[in-house]
Amino acid sequence: MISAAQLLLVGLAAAAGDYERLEREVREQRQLLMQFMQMEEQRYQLLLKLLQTRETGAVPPQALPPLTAPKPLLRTSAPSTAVIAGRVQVKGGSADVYVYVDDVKAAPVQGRTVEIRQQGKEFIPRVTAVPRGTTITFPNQDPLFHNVFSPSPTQPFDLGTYRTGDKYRTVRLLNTGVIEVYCNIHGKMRASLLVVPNTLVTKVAADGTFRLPGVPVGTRRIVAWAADARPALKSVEVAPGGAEVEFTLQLEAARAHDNKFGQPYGSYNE
Amino acid sequence: MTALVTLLMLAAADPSADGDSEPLDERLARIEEELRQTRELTLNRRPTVTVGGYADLGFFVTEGDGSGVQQDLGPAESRRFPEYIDRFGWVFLGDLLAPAVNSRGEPADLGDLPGTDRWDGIDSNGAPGFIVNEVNLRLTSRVAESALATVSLDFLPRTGSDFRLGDAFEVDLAQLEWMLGAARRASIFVGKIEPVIGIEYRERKTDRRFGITPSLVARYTTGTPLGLKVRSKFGPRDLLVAAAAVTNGSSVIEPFHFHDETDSNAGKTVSGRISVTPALPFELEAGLSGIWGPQDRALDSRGSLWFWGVDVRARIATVEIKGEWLRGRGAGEANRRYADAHRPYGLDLDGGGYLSVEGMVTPVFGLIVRGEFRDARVWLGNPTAPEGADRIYVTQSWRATIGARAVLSDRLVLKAEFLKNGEYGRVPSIRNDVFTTSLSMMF
Repeated sequence: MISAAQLLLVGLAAAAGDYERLEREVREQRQLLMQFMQMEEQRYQLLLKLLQTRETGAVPPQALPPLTAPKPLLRTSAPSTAVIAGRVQVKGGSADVYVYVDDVKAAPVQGRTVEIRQQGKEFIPRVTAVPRGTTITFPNQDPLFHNVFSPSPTQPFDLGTYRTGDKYRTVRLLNTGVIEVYCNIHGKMRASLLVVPNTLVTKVAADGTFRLPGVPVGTRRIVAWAADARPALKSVEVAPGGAEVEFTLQLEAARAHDNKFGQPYGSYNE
Repeated sequence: MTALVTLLMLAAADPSADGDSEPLDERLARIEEELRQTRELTLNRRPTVTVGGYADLGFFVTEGDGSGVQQDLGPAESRRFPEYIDRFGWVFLGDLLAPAVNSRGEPADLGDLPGTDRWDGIDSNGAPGFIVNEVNLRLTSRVAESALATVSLDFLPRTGSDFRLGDAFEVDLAQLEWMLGAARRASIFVGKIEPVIGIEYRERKTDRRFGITPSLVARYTTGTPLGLKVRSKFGPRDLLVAAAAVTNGSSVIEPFHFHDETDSNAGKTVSGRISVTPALPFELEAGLSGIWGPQDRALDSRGSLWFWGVDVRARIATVEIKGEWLRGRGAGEANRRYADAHRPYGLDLDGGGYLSVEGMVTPVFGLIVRGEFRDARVWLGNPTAPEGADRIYVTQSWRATIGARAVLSDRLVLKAEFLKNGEYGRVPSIRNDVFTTSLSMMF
């Protein structure tokens, strides 16, 4: 049972920041509590009836609903987890592939930073997968200006124009999905960011294998993703002993993109 | 009763009930809808035309009278080229465009040469001075899903005369680029287009040029002809790029002797370039290009004008190395005589080229060094006719350029260059060194 002190703590944290995460947690907790209250009410009414009819013996004691404990409102112990292992086959070329668990919700991560630098008119690394809440820094290490932007509906942004030595810009990714990152000055520059809902994500090794520990047991949606391929999704029954899964991705030709004004770059843009 | 107490506690902790009458869920839904509408508004109000361009200001100092040629005069024994005395009415030594002061390649002065009436845009007579080199206005617009229209206009404020303004403007580009395929790796261009020969045309405008002045062979490769062009990239990481064009005239710049904006002969000029960019630890591009067609300005398609050349570009860390070599021939009038407005010049470009090294030393400060030469003869008339030809320009020039640039912001660049112009062979030394600066304000 939640205590008043815990609710107070939640309220204080909400006042301190990260309103969105706390708001969702409170909502979930309210739902659980409401369910529990309804169950308590039923039990209470039944108990009253039982007491009132005990003298007549009309209601047997077995009519009481079973006392099932609700899920813990604030997690006090880690759920049972297992390892998902497997292999991803990529057809049509080679690519950086990530595998992640799609249906385990978690609060946005705090304090995690990943760097995508601009070097040699390229984004390095070109493909990255990060959990929601990650902050991406975009330092410019080229002796020329770049303008990092993303038109992706997942989380559009425009970091403006800057060069080596300038204070580099950052963006915190709070929405899950794929975010394509470009340079408004150099059309060939492209990075693909996959924002996943939790930390259950791993990069597939060069030989196509992967191992993803810490996956809660149960039926899980597992996704294999590469920048230029349609993602592959499988529903996997994760047993306490683990699970194995195989994916096949078909690479497609990269599509050209527009600049931040919605105009094509033109053939000569590098 | 326990349930009632707990429900009261929950109501007290509910964020939606803390004095704000709007429930949290409704408030969130309203904010999300407002955000969606704001995004739509932003996207739909995005301009359909992108406006760009620059204003390029400068200050230059030249040696001598600012011109790059001198006349070969006097009796045969005192002449540098006595063999021309009976074949050409006037013999000029040097290079008209060597004392360039800006990215357009305009010379500080064209000199007062007999027998010609030329537009000497700067006409400095050797005086140092300020100049607005060029104001450029560039408009681009997606006119169809896969089509990009580009117009580039140049405005040139120059000295007027007889109560007339001397300002000029030119349509630098007016092209439609139709991009093929989802990856847009092939394009068809139509209109007044960038040429396909060499690599210097890519930086013919000051906002794209590291230094200030163009090379001595840029006059042949950076003009914008009217016609049709196809360009496509092949292989992984654009290993191979091929381009071909059919145009009215050559890719020589408009102010020089060889250029046809609108054609005066039925024959068309064809040009092409192929380049490879192999997968190496550093960036390397090597190209081979050529152009052939009837002579510009000629009234028939009998005589030809052609160029071919090789180019290379390498980028190692922050240093870029570029080089081009070019050769060309133009028949000239030969045994024909055309109307004055359509007299084609003859050309014998034995060779010309440059090698430049440029790079940013710090994020703000960069250096460029360039060495180059041009060995050419350009003439008007028929040197084999009994009365001889009108004129000839004999060029055996070299040039060493050192320059610096300060990138003050992404829209403000200050550049300075010193051009040491020299002559070799029998062409005498001409005092035509140049110090020039450029302040480019991009918008």
